[in-house]
Amino acid sequence: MHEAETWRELLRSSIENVYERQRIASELGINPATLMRWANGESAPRPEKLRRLIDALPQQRERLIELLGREFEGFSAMMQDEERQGESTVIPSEFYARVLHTRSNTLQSLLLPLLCDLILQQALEQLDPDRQGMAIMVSTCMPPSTSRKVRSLRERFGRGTPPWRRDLAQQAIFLGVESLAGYVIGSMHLEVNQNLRDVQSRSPGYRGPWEESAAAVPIMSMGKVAGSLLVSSTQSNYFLPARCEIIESYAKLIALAFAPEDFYELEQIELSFLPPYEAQQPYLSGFQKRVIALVQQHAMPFIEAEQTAWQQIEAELLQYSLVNNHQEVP
Amino acid sequence: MATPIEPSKSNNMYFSDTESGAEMARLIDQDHLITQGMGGLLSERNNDFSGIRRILDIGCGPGGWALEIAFAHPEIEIVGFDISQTMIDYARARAQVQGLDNASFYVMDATKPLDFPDSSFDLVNARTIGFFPTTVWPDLMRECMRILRSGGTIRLTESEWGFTNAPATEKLQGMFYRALKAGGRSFSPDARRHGITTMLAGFLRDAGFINVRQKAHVIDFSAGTEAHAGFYKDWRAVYKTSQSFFINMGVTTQEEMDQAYEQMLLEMMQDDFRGIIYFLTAWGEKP
Repeated sequence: MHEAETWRELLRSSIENVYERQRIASELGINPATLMRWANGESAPRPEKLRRLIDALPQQRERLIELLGREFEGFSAMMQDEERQGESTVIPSEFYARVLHTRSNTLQSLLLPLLCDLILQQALEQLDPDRQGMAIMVSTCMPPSTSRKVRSLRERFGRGTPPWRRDLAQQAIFLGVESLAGYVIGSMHLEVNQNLRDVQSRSPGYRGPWEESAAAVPIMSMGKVAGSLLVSSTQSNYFLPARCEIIESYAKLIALAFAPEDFYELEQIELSFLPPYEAQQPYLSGFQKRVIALVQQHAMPFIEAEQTAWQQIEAELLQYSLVNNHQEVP
Repeated sequence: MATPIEPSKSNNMYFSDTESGAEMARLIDQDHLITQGMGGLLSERNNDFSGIRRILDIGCGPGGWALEIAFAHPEIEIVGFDISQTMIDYARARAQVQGLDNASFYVMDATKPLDFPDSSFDLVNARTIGFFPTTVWPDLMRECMRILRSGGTIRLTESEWGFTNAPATEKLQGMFYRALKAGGRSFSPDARRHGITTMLAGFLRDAGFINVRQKAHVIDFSAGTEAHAGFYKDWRAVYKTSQSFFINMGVTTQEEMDQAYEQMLLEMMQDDFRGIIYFLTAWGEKP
């Protein structure tokens, strides 16, 4: 038998039998006529349909992937990578169950930190099962103070695998439009930077000499935004479509950790430029002393003192940016 | 962190909602902290797993210790069990997303005969299960003896709560010890501590294990140390979620608890805060 030279030829021979054609079409959720058009070179399928086509023809799998790779650049690599990830292209239902259960019976004051920790732990294990090195960080909108607009994000909860440390919250800073995490707040969808070295890119949200690629996605509910989720990898080109889908799913889960008042309309958000890590350090390291002073000298309740201290630091950083950079919000 | 409050393992004496995922996140953090603080997964053997093919982890919770071993040693088969179905479902999902086929998890009650054949494990591990009722230990040790092969090792790791120089923090610890005593989970005659670490080696010797030895590891979580932030975060959560338990056990009032809690948050943030916690591992062999 003549061996197919293109994936279209292979498909044509696979759908000669009308019942087989029906079966494949129904597995792909398309009209059999569409299959014929692909086979005859009259149209091309979308990537997700290609994936399902491969699943529908398990015995031709390897040959089909190889041939598809000839017509669609990068397809083989993408498939190989997805195969390597095995079943982990969806979040297991046990994880969803855990998150929903936690949300239903955790004290509100503890919900955000505890749920974020739980979800980030799950995300890290799923997105970096081979522990090649990953950092995941949740940044949230700073409640507006005098300007009545959200001017910055604050990194709040983070998890990493080596070379990053496990708990990233200890080195958290404020972010603005200069960051990928901040940028996606405005774009309202996932953004990927597959190679942070090559591209004249927005600076990544997390800082490490080993960071090669990053993806960020806004944390949203009912069209409003609470912050963003940033994932950084030590590998370049790590954020393939399947992984991006998982990241988006995790961002939706994380949205469940927030209270309604934590979300802001896009019009309420006007991020500024924030200074780099080194410049923020002196301000951030004084956080504890500020809290202690507010509690002891002003008899402020502890939680309120923490919020006040963060707002003071934010205001000083915004001032710092204004004086040192003269950068305007675009 | 590293609180001995592990509800899944506490046999229905819940500090907070056992089934809550939040508790799960804490337990996962704890696992990491303890492993790190103790210098590895099997520090008394310099983390040498040679000759070990099958391991059992008793009261595995969300599977932290077991999954770490499964990742580091693909050639080892590790089994974990816990009384909580939720914990087991969760541990299985974690193994699945990480592709760790050599770890398996079962629902089982450590206070009943264990559903494993005789002489089927090379190593049996139990870490921070110290909140079982005090009476269950002898039977559990006998079961461990049965399922270990001859020459196999059992290891038990427990801690006392922390020791600090901060008044409100110490006050909260005192409430904790008294609540344990009231719940029949304390080995301390006067509820001044939990007392479990005093007992471990004796449990092993009484059950007939030989070459019983002990080693302690200390974790310093004073202000300015690496471990401080983790403990701060953990105690901030745990003393909030365990409030109703303390009050129900009659060891404090809401007002006293609220005040001590606020004070603890402040104390732990001060530069002069000092705190340590130690973990004791006792291990022995089946003759």
